[in-house]
Parts: sequence; structure tokens; C-alpha cells
Amino acid sequence: MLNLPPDFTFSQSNLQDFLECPRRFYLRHVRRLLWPNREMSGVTETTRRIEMGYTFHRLAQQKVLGISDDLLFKFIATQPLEFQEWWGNFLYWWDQALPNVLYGERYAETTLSCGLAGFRLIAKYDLLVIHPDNTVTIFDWKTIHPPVRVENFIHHVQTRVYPFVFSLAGTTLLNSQEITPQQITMIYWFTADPFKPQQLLYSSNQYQADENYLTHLITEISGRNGNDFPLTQNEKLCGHCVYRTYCDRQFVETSTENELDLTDNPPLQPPDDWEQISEIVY
Amino acid sequence: MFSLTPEQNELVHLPLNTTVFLEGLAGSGKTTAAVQRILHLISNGIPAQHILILVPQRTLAQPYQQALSDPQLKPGGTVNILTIGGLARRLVEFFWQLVAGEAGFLQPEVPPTFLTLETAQYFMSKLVRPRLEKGYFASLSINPNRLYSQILDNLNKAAIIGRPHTEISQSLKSAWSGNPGQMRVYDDVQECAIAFRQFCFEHNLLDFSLQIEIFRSYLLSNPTCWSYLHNQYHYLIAENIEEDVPISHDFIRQWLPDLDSTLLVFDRGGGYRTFLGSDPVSACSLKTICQRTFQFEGTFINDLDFQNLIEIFQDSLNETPPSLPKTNLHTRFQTINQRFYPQVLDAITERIHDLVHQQGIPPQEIVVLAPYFNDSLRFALTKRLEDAHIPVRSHRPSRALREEPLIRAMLTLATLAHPLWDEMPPINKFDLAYTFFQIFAELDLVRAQLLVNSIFTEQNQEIQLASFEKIPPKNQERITFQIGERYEQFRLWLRDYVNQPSPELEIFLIRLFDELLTQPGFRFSQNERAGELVANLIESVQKFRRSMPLNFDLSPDECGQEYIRMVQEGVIAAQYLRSWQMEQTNTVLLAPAYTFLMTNHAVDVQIWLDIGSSGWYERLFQPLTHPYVLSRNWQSGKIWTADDEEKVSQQNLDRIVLGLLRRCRRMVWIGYSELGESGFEQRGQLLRAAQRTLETINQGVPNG
Repeated sequence: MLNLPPDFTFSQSNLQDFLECPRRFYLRHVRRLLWPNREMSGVTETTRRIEMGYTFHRLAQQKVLGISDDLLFKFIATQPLEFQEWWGNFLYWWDQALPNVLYGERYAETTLSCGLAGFRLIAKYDLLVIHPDNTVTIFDWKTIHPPVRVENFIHHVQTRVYPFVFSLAGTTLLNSQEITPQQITMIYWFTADPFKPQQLLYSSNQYQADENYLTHLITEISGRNGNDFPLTQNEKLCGHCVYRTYCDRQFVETSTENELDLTDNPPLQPPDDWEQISEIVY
Repeated sequence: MFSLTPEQNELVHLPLNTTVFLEGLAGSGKTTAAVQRILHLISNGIPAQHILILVPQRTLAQPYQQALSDPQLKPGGTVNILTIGGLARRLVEFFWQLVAGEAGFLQPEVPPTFLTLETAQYFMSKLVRPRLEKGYFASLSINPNRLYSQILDNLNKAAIIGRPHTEISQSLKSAWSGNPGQMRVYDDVQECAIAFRQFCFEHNLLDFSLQIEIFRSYLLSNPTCWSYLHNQYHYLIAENIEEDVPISHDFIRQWLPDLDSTLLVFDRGGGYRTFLGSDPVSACSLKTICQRTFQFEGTFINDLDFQNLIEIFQDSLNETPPSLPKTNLHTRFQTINQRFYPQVLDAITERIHDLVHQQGIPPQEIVVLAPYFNDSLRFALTKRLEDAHIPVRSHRPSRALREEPLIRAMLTLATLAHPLWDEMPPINKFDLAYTFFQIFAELDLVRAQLLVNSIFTEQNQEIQLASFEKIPPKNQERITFQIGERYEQFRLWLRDYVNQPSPELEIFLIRLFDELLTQPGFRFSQNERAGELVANLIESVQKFRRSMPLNFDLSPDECGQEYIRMVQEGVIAAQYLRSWQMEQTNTVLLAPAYTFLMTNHAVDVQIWLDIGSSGWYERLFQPLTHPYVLSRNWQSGKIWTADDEEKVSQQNLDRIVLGLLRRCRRMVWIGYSELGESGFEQRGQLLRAAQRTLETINQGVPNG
């Protein structure tokens, strides 16, 4: 039985880590091992894009919180041109979508969780829209480049976790009214292809399949012992992995399809060491 | 269901809209009740996302985090756990555009930069140094780095009591009665504090004090921000409010009428962070605005015998006639007394060995505490315990990276790889030999020195590293060809690097780590400790670069150089803060007493070291600031006297000793030597109180 940290919860990102490389899951989420890597530097192209992605998510949240477009615009004017283009497209899409998929009660950066297979499973949503007819649209902003085709997302664990968790936990946003999987739609919106959001409709069959799949996956992970987390066979996945040198894997150039995902861990949010100010002797 | 006392049960099941002030001593079950109250709220349909838990320090969030990760918990939103600083920062990020201009930032349209402790200290040094050259602080003999941090401390103290930062010197001066020259020092402090604040406004920089100031003066009066708070949170649980700062209490007071329910948890014996601005008096004043007050009197930690010991110790501290031992307390309170300090450490190791290996006490139930844990004590005790096969961890929460040998080697290599950097401390042969010793596997210091003597030449301050082939064969043999091969690998890597344009310092460090130091034959290969340290260094460099205002116009190379120079000079300590949760828990803990108290957990056995030290109760020497004068409880215009000093020392001693005893289940051992660590005879109030306690215990049970 795996000895997980006492506050451990499963999420789409740690499950995805396990699926890509069990060893990465073990080092990052069980051992919580810090290991130097290029993405840490904050000065590579990848990290520059991650930072832009983080800023995009925060601004989208501010928009939902009610900061006016005019005030945000002044801020965006200080950002790189590519970012300004993202935001311009986002606003255009937003205005178009406002009467339909964005119509309703909006919740930005909301986290929901439920128990599954003896653990807590959490999902952090970029935007949830509860429509007046009690249907729900889950939005996920993707700042990855280039955009990924919808069929690549269908089997991504995020596509399973998000609607599944909402089916169980989303009633908290619906005044405790029951929700059926059919009421849930998930939309991936891409900065790189803003006018072709990818829409996925949820269903009872899919819910059942997801429940079985996620239960099995969590049971499998938690049942392993520490020596049973092998390295991935697909060495292409090691190209941008933070533990590449720890695991003695070679650098292989790969696409950056996954590493720009900001869903659970905004990577550039610095820890606030002022909170630990008492620990430092002046 | 968790087994609760009737009092706990009553509190947990109060109507959902009740505001409660819960007080009691450590170990009386307050946090347990508060955790259960939250679970009760959630199970009764309160959306978890509407609950905020406010803690004074992240370590205190642990019981809540664990309870909230229980899979049995109802599906729904998640509870937020924040410190007042974390909340302030989050709100500044969300609503920056609404308040930045009004607050006085000159570039409100540009994103703010949040300063860490070390980057704040860096900018403070930029402002203070020119003034030092002009004779500011001339009457003081103090390390400049402590000077910078104490000015920042003053800004923080002003912010957390909600007083203008322009009144720092006025407060300090009005309480001063010593040398009149100190008045000038306070004026200098004031000027630097104002200059720093102005600099932050000009460059969109936010240190802790400014985050708190923006939160208090602008965000809480902004309707959009207030509406966000109002919609987001309806239930507040504030843990250990006595360890929180007045501004946090003000916020609770202002917010409470808007909230559906509030639970404020107050430890009557707490206040350990007073020297950092926590204010138990201000916390206690919140009692009057709560509908209900609960007082938990018992203890779940100390049995009756131990409670008796606490009474006796309390009398010894107060020098009042001692309570009588009701039973034989010899096994509960013992001394480990030797003539010399190392003998004490040996004896402690033997006792811990016995506890773990003979008596079966789990290592995590044992802590060794001292007022400070310096490197030599930490090393001496860790080594002894490891040799005795006892798992051990030390927790010295803030530690300068540059004190780590591996990091010193990285910094030397950074300087070596950038020969065009000017005004850097020169690299000497010893530095380089030490660096080689740190990075080449299987190389000892003697051969490292021989290698360096053989390859190192310096002309016109330019260092040349000769090829291994060029050194005398006799030396090659002594150094070994295997090491020679590694050295060549290193030399060629360095040569290639130097011939290319310099990238950011972070990139250099990562390349050095990736391409060289983790390769076979180098010590960093699969070395997790080295990995963690280098990762921390890179994070520190990254934060430094990110905080640099654009108009400073530093190239990547200049920025790296500036960072290294500041670390070498000690302005930037490159401090890192380890998470408690990341550490292994099945180990004996070595920690400063205050750090242990702020984790708020109990253990079976405590061993107190250095009880002759005044560090248990005396405040640090801080000539530029004053934690008691810069507080709301200090009457303006009153002079700080020796009596006041003695009073707070006594208060601190009572607080820390009783706080520790209330977090101990079975026994306390005190380790002391006739001659202390520095070879002087041991004295001090704690030692005297411990001796009085022992005398009482030795008198035995009356009629027994």
C-alpha cells in the first residue's frame, strides 16, 4: 500500500503524470522531490509561454470578477503582442458567446472535490457557467500551441475527471439540486484557435465508464508500493520532464502539447515566504 | 463519529449562524472541536467553498488540511485556508487595477511585483548603502544586512498595527531613554523606510508591509473587492488568533457582522510570536463581539501527574511557594547533567537510543529543543544520533543557501565561468580545491589541493586552468587518472561555456547541473539533497531576476553578476523555507523551541538543551526596532525601562516553558553542563527554575 502524504488528493494532473510515467508520479507527488530542470529557469520559450498562460488565466478570472475591460485593456497593453492578440480574440469570442454558452451564473477558478476509491479527487475549473435551465458548461482555457484536435482530448484524463467530479460535487453550485450527466458540456477553448472551441457532451454512459476507469486507476496507484513505479517506456515523454536527468534519460525534442497545461498547478505562482516570516531572525 | 467531550459536542452542534469565541490552554481540544465544527457545517449543507480558515502561519493549517482531504467528506467545493498575508496578496492580485493608482503606484497599468524577504532586502540595500557612505547610522556597529532587515521589520510592524510608516521614528524615539545619539539613528531609520516605500511606489514593488497596507487602506474599502469577499465567504474559522497580528483582528472585527457564522480559537497561554507582532490582547478583545464564549479547561495531553509537574514548574518560575508533588515525579522530569557540553550530547544520545530501541518509543515522539540550533550543535547531535542508528531530522526553518558547501561550490563555479564579471571577490586556490572536493566523486581534500596547485595559474587577475596532461606525471599518479579524466571533462565544459555569450544565471546553473555535475563520476548524480539545494538556488535567482524593475535595464549577465555579488556579501541570504510536510516524520526532531511550539503538536518526550542560556526568554538585540514599542499595547510617550525588559523576559519564559510542558505527554529531560557550549559556567532563569522544580520533586510526596 502506497504511503501517500496525509493531505494528498488525486487530480487530473497527478493522474496524467501517472499515466505518462509512473515514476514521475511517484517522484513529484509522493516523494515531492525537488530537482533542477530547464523549465524552472523561467527564461526558456516554454516557461515564457507558461507565464503568458498563467497571466491569461488570471485576467480571465478578473474579467469574471467584474474588473472592467477598460482597466484590463491598459494592463494588457503592457504585455507581449502575442498575448494582446490572445486577449483580443478572447474578448471577441466572449462577446459572441455571451448570449449562449456564457449565459448564466459564472464561477471562475472554482475547485470541486469528491471521494472516490478511498481518496479525495479534485478538479479546478477555469470557468463554470450554470445556465438558467440548470445545464452546465465547463470551460477550460488552453494556451497550448499548436491547438490539439478534439479526438486527442477525448481520452485525456482531464476530460474524464472534470465532468465526473462536477456530476458528483456540482450540486453545491446548483442550490443542492440534482444534476444528471446529460446536463454537462465541456468546452476546451484555445488561444491559438479561438473560434473553434472543442465541445464535448457528457452522458450517463460516459459517467459510468469514467467512474469505473477512475476507480480502477486510483485503486491501482494506491495499491502499489514505492518500488513499483517504473519509468515510462516512451522516452519522448522525458524530453521536458523535470526529472529527466534524475532518471538519467536523454533529451529528446518533443512537441509541447502537455507541459503547458496550467489546470491544477499555476507553476509560476511563487510561494509567499512572508507568511513564514516568523522563521527568520532579523 | 469522532469521540467528543460534552463541551466540544455542544460547540460543534451550535446553530449554524452562531459566532463563537473559543478559548482554552494548549491541549484542551480546541482545534479538534474547530475541525469537527467545519465538518459539521459541511455535512449540514454549508457549501465548503463559502468557508475560510484563517491561520497565522501555514504550519497551523495541517489538522484542517488533513481533515478536509478525508474521502468520506461530502462532495462539493473546497475550503480555503489562508494567512492574512496570503489573503492580502490574493486580493491585491485580483483587484490591482482598481486600487493601484489611488494607492500611489506610478505605473498602475503595469503588473505588480511581489517581493520576497530577500528581494526586499536587496532593494533596501540599494537605498541604504549610499546613505551609509554619507555617515548615516555612523554610531552603530552592526552588520549592514541586519540593518536592512530591521528597517524592513519596522515597516512590517507599522503595517500590522495599522500605523503610518512615517511615524516609526516618532514611536521609537518617544520610548528611548538612553544615549541621545540613538535619536539620530531612529531618524535615519525613518528616512530609509520612507525612501523604500517611495521606491516601491515608483517601481510597482510590493513587500509584505505594502501588501498589508494596500489591503487595509484600499481593498477593504473598495466595493468590488468587498463584494467579492462577501459573496465568496460566509463562514470564518480563525485558528490561534493570539498568534495573529492586530490588522488581522481588525479585519475580523470589520467582517464579522457580514458573516453567517464565525469561530475564533484563542490559546490562553499563547502569544509566542509577540516579537513578530502577534497580539494576544488584541485577539482577546474579539471576545466581546461574539455571541457565545466557550472555555475548554481540561487537557487531552497531560495526565494528572504531568499536570502536577506543570504546577510545580509554574511555582518555580514565579518563585512562589511550591505546590507539593502528589506522586513520584522522578520519571517525568529528569536532568542529564555533565561537566562538559559534549558529554551532555553523548548522554542524550544514549538516552534516546534507550527510548527508541529498548522502550519502543517511536522516534517521532521525541524532540530535542534548544533556544537556537546553530550549525555546530545540529551537526554534533545529528552525527551522534545517526551513528546510534536513530533516524533524525533537524528543523532550522530558515537557512542561508550560501552556508551550504554544495552551494558555495556552485557560486565559485559561477564566478569562474564568468571571467568578465568585475568587482567580484577573487577566487583563490583554496576555494577551487574545496569546490573540486564538492563536485568530483572520490576526491579527497588533499588531492583536491594537489590538483589545484598543479593546474591553477593567475595572471593579471585572470585565472587559467591547465590541462591534466600538462601536469607532472608524479602528480598525475597521485591525483589518479580517473580524477584527471573528470577534471578534463569539467575543464572542457567550462572552456566551451566561457566561449559562448553568457545566458541568464539560472540557465548557467541548470546547464552546469544537467550537463556536468549529474554525470557519472560527479557527486551530484542522483544526489537528492544536492538536487533540492540547487533547485532552491535557481528559484532564488529567478525571483531576484523577476523582481528587477525594467528600467534598471540590466542584461541577463549583469543581473546574474549582481545576484552572485549580493549573495557573497550576505545581502541576499538565498534563504529557503522547507515545508514540514515534505520532511520525513518517523524521526527524532531537533528544532528551536519556538519553531516546535508553532507546529502546535504534542510529543511523548521533550529534551531541552542549553537551559542555562538567556536565549529562552531574552529578546534579540535589535537596535533599530522594538517589537514591544511598535505595538498597540504600548502607551505612546512612555519610556521603555529595564523593568519593562525584565517583565517581558519573565513573561516570555513563562509562556515558552508552560507552552512546551502542555505539549508533552510523558517526560521532560533537561540537558545541561556545568560549562556551556562556549565553555562558560551555565546560569539563567530557566536553569534556576528547573533546579527549584527538581528540589521540590526530590522532597518527595508528603507522607509518602
